[in-house]
Parts: sequence; C-alpha cells; structure tokens
Amino acid sequence: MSAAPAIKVHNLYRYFGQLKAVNGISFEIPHGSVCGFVGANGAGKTTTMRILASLDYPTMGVAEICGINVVHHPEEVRRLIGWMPDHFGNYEHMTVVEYLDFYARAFGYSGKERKTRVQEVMEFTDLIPLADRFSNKLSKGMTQRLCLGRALLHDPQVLIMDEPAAGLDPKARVELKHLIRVLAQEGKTIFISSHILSELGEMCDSLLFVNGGRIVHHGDAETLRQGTDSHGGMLYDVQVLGDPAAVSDWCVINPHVELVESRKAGGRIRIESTDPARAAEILARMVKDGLKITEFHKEQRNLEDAFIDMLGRIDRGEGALPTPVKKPEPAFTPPEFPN
Amino acid sequence: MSTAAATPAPPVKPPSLAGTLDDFSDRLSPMLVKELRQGLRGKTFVIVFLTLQALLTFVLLIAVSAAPSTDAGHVVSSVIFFFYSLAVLVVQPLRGIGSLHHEIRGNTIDLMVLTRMSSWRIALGKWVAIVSQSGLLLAAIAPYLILRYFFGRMELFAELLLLALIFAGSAVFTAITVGLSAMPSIFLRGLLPLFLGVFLAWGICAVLTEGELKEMIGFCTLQDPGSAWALLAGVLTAAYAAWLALALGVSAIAPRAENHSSIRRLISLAAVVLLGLLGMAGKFDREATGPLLVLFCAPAVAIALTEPLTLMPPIVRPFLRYGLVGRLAGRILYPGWISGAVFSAVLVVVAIGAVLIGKDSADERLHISLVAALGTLLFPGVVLRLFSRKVQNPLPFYIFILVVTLAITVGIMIAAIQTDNHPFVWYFSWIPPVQVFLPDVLRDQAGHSATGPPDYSLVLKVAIGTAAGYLAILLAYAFRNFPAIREVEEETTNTPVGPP
Repeated sequence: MSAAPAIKVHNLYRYFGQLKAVNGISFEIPHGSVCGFVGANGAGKTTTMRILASLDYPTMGVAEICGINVVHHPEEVRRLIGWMPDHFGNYEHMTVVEYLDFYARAFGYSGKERKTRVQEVMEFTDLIPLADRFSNKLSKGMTQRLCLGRALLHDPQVLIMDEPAAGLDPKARVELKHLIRVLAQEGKTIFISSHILSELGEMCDSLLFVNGGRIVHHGDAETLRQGTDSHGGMLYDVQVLGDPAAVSDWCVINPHVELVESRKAGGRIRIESTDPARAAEILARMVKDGLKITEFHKEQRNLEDAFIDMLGRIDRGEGALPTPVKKPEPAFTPPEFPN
Repeated sequence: MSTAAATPAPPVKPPSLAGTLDDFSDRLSPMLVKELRQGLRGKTFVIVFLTLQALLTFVLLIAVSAAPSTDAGHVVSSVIFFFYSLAVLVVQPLRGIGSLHHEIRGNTIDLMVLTRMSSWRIALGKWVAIVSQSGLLLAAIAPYLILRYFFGRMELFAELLLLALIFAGSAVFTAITVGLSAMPSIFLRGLLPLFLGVFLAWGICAVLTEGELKEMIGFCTLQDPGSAWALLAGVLTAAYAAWLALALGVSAIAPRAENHSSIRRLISLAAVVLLGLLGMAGKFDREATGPLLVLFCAPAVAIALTEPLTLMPPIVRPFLRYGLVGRLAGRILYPGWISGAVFSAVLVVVAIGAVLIGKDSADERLHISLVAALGTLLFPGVVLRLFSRKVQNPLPFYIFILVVTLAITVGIMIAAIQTDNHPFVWYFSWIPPVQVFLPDVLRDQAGHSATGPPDYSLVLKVAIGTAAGYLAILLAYAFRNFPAIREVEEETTNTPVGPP
C-alpha cells in the first residue's frame, strides 16, 4: 500500500463554460476509511467523483489515487478504483452471471480464475440465487448489488460510489450499508456520496460537505452534530392533543420561539436560549395558552439540522468558507480552446 | 476479498459456477461474447433468420412451378439474391444504428472503459457480432444454392463471388452504422444510416426488377478487361470506409486522454499515397485515380476539420519524446481541428501529388473538377470556423453546409439555364462546386461571341485560387491557436513522467 493518501484532491477546478461545477476543492482521505460526500444536487459531487474515476478531467488542479495522478496516468488509476455510477443501464437478454462474466473477461480474467472471481463477488453480494435472472429484470436493490459486484471484480483498493442508496427500499439500504461496512473492515477505502445524511453518519469515518463546488466542512459526523448552532438555541419536540397546527400557530405569535419542523402530533421548535429555565418558562406559557401538551423534550441536533444550519450561515455570509490555497503547481491546466 | 467476512456463514454451500460460463472461449473478445450472447437471444435476428428461411422456401417453390423451365435457374437466383440482399445488406446493418449509443446513454461505456478493454475492442466487438450473424444468414442460404445448382446454367464462381461481395458490402454498411451510432447527433446516428438503408433497398429492388442481376453476375466472372482491378479498388475503398467509420466511433467513445486521431490520420495519408503509387504502377488514367483519391480524402478531411479539441498530457507526451520532430508532427497529428487543418492541407497536397504522378491527362475539365472537389471539402470547414462558437455538433454542421452548398449550386445552375444569363454564374465562382459548371458557361459564352475553343485555364486558375484561399484561411485559424498547443506541451514537459 502506498504511503500517499488513498485519495488526494488539491485545488481542483472543473468548469463547464460559465458553470463552476467544482470550484477549488481540496481534501485527503486516508487508506481504509469510509468518507461520505454530501451536498445538494448540482453541488459538484458527481463531477469530482468522475474526475477521480478518470472519466472526466479537471480544468485545473490535482487529483490523485494512491499517489497516482488521474490525469497523467489514467490507466494505472483504473486498476486501483472500483466505480459505481449513480445510474447505469442494464443489458437486455443477459443474465446476472453472464453480466459479471462479461466484466470479469473485460478485466482480463480467464479460465478458472474468471469463474472464481465471479463466484466470489456473487457470494459476497448474495447474487447466487439470482444468477440466471435477466439483469434488466432486477429490482433497484438487486441492481445496486450487481453494480457493486461488478465494481469489486478486480479487487480495487478504492471504491468510488455515487449515490448508491438512491431509490433503494429500507431493506436494500440496510443490506448495502452492511456490505459497505464489511468492505471497510477489509481495508478498502470508500468514497461515497449520498443525500441521506443520517445513514452516512452511521457508516462513514468522515464527512465531506460540498456546496456550490466548494468544500464547506470536512470532519466526522459527531463534530458536525455538536458544532455551534448559529441560532444559539436549543431544539425541543412538542406534541399536543388535538390539532397539531396549534404548535405552529403558537410559535407565530410568540417571539424567541421558532418552528423548525411540523410533525404529526405537533412540531419541533427552537427556543433561542440554552437556559433550561427559559425552556420551563416557554412550556408554562404554552400550557397557559391552552395547548394540551403531551410531550415536551429536548432533542439533539441531527446531521440534517447541522447541514442546513451550515448552508444557511453560508447564504447569510456568516460562515467563512475554507479559502482555497494559492494556486499550486497544477498537474495540468488546459488552455481554453475554441471548439 | 474474503467471502467469509461478508456474510454470516451460510448453512449450505452456495452452488458453484463450475461447468457454467464455458459457452465462449476466453480467446474471444469479451465484447464479442457479450454481443453474441445478447444478439442470438434477440428477437430481430431470430425473426430475420426464420423469415428468410420461410420466404426462400415458399417463394422458391412458387417461382419454380410458375417459371418456364429454361429460365427457372435465373428465377431461383433472383429470389435467393433478393431476400439475401435485403436481409444482409439492409436489415442486419441497420441493427447497428443504436449499438454504441445505447451503451453511451446507459452509462455503460464508462463502466467498460474502466476495464482493460480498449475502445477499439468495444466497437469491433459490436461490429463483429452483427457481421457474424450476417455470416450465419449466408450459411443458411447454402442449401438453396445447392438447389439452384441443380436447375443448371449457373455461373458458379460468379454467383458465389457476388454473394461474397454482398456479404462484404453488409460488413461495410454495418461498420458505418456501428461507427456512426456513437455520434451525439441524431442526424448522423439515425437518419443518415436509415437513408442509406432505404437507398440500398431501392437499389436491390431496381437491380432485380430491371434484369441487371445478369449483368452483375457477368461482371463477377471477371472476364471484362479491368474488371479485376475495378473490383480490387472497390474492395479497398470499402475496407477504408469501414475502418474509417469504426475509427470515428472509437474516437467518440474513448476517454479523452486517449488519442485515436493520430493513427487515423496517418492511415488516411498512407492510403492516399498507396493509391497514388498503385495508380502510377498500373498506369491508370487520372479519370480513375482522381475521383478515387478525392473519395479517400473526403471523410478524412471532414473529420479532421470538425474534431473537438481536448489536448492532455497523456496525448502530448509521446510526441514530446521526439523533441522538435515530435512537436512538428504533433502540429499535424494531435487530435482536434487545429492540427486537423494542417493535416487537411498536407492531405490535399499529397492527393494532388498522387494525381500528378499518375498517367498524364489533357482533360482540363477533370482537373477543374478535382480541384473544385477539394475546395468543396474545405469550404464547410471555413464556414464552421466563422460560426464555431455557436456550433454544438461540428460534424453534422459540416455535412449540413456541404449539402446546402450543393443545393445552392444546383439552384444557381437552374436559374442560369432558365434565364439564359450564363455570365452571372461567375459571381458565384467562389463556391467550389459551381466551378465544375464554369467550363459549360465558358463554352456557351464562346459559342455566342467568339470563335475557336474556349480557354479553360482561367476556370482552373479560379478553382486553384479559391481552394488555396480556403486552405489559407483554415491555416490562419490554426496558426492563431498554436500558442494554446504550446502551453499544453510546456505543462507536460514540466510535470513528472511516471507515477511516484
């Protein structure tokens, strides 16, 4: 294993005409870790991942896999990575086992070794019972397992997975999560993007938040969760008897209390103070105003809250984005060509 | 990867794959294996195969019973050639229309290029799979050929040769559909092959209904002087066209860091030189070699002038190893229209040289037509440069301009004939295809006002002048962008060669 980090991105830019899809991001992911890549649609996740998979090229900057530059040595990089795209078409008239056999042949396996590899990944992804099913007749969950199996055929060191859990039912999600944890235990580096923050929080050693093509946070889930709430308050779950809209109506006419999220039996509110006495005072006022409170308890900030809070701060210009490093010696800076 | 760690120990050992997946040898290309597995299960092939068999059996029986006994053999031949040609020359190649496009649309091209499979193997696998299925159709008509033999008066060699040529034609058309299927433009990918398919189907019907099959079989006896050479030239041109179409598809699906342009350009150059040398050795007339050379140049120039630019260190590095010579070669062979313009200039000069070293010809009209044809190839390139920033798909735009230019030429000539105002055609002499008709204009003018034969050298000078002018404009655009190429070369020189 190389001494260099499994993934290194330094001052990476990718422009599509006027659109700055990736706008000077830098990060490193050590070997054997699972890193979640989080951001809204169009934040630059897929573009960054495609550059790392040597399927796209940067406008400027450096991207390396195990110390190998993806622009200069794409062939070497391709041997080290397994790529799971966010969507891909399956083939007609081709069974699951034939699908994997095709890719095993394409990766250069032959004879007994080819069959052994196919057998191993089918067992790992639990595809043996589906071996003779046509690959285009699989459910989304089975298709993702098939895609993971294909990505693992050549036993890559680094797995790059773009939204692998998108569209999966809860059972398939749990299965996928399990497979990813097992791969991490085996020492593979996994770089995974997703919208489902809670799942990434459980699965990943670190989280990388990207917004507008720039990294806005890199750290573990707990650090992010415990980070300072920009509103400087506490969150409470309030449940009432009767119309749940009573909570939101009450919040509208009461200062220093804000409805964060409507819920089935009430809502989630933010009280602009961390003082428990203030919370008691608010509760008393609610009861006095006729709300039939059945539940009132403090809630931890979850990853979604932290992420939205962070984006809000950035939008308000309060949060300082990490400043990109001054232009390093770029591995490649293609000039603007007229096509 | 240890299987044991992945799942809890299963109570029963999962079934082994031993004995399965042996249907195709490891020696075969993975792509071919995939395509054959899919293709042989596909409905289209099965329907074509069974329909061909059923129709041949049914129609043969009717034809034999209905036809006079002396001509029964020819009727049988017609039936065999008709259905075989339709199936192999039209239906089978058109199956290639979506082949690479489906892979691109389904994101599966990305998955394939990340394996060890090269872009050429992907495209070739697609092509070979369809061609081998066409081969199965050829094998399937063998029993009918035996039946045909017993009807007598069969030109065995000629008819077998014709069948082989139809098969070769199918392979070429399949290469064109497969190669073009990687193009983003629906016009190139779908409409153009469909148009060719309809044209071929019409041709097949025309040949068989107008009794030209006997003439074609007669040609395939190779008894006529020059027929063997004509056949060889046709086969070489077809092979070149097939290779070029596939190479175009390969360039479209290859990762940007791969360079497929340089070899394509070198082979085009070599083909033109080879054709010129063959023409010289065989002392062929310029009337034969000239148009053939233009035909060889046309696709190479069109592709070179419309190629998108993505110069990257992995592409530039092999050239830089040869120092100044490599950099100079790069100005002709790097992918992209900048070097494509320089390459086009070189190719045009080589083609003119190849025409000139051949058997001399006093036919000035031929020379005018050849130069005008070369100018016609360059003209859309110049228009493309003028509108380059607004053009999304350069190659379809180039073809569109070419078609519009030809249509304008036809319009001008119709207007000239109808108004009997021939001199006004000279105002459009900057449009290269118009130059082909200028000798007629001159002749008519001479007929009206002068004695003696008209001097065509003026038209030739105009043709040479405009072609040279267009070439100069393209080269000026190219030279203006050379600093950008130099920038990539400098960056490549300043970065480490191997992985750390």
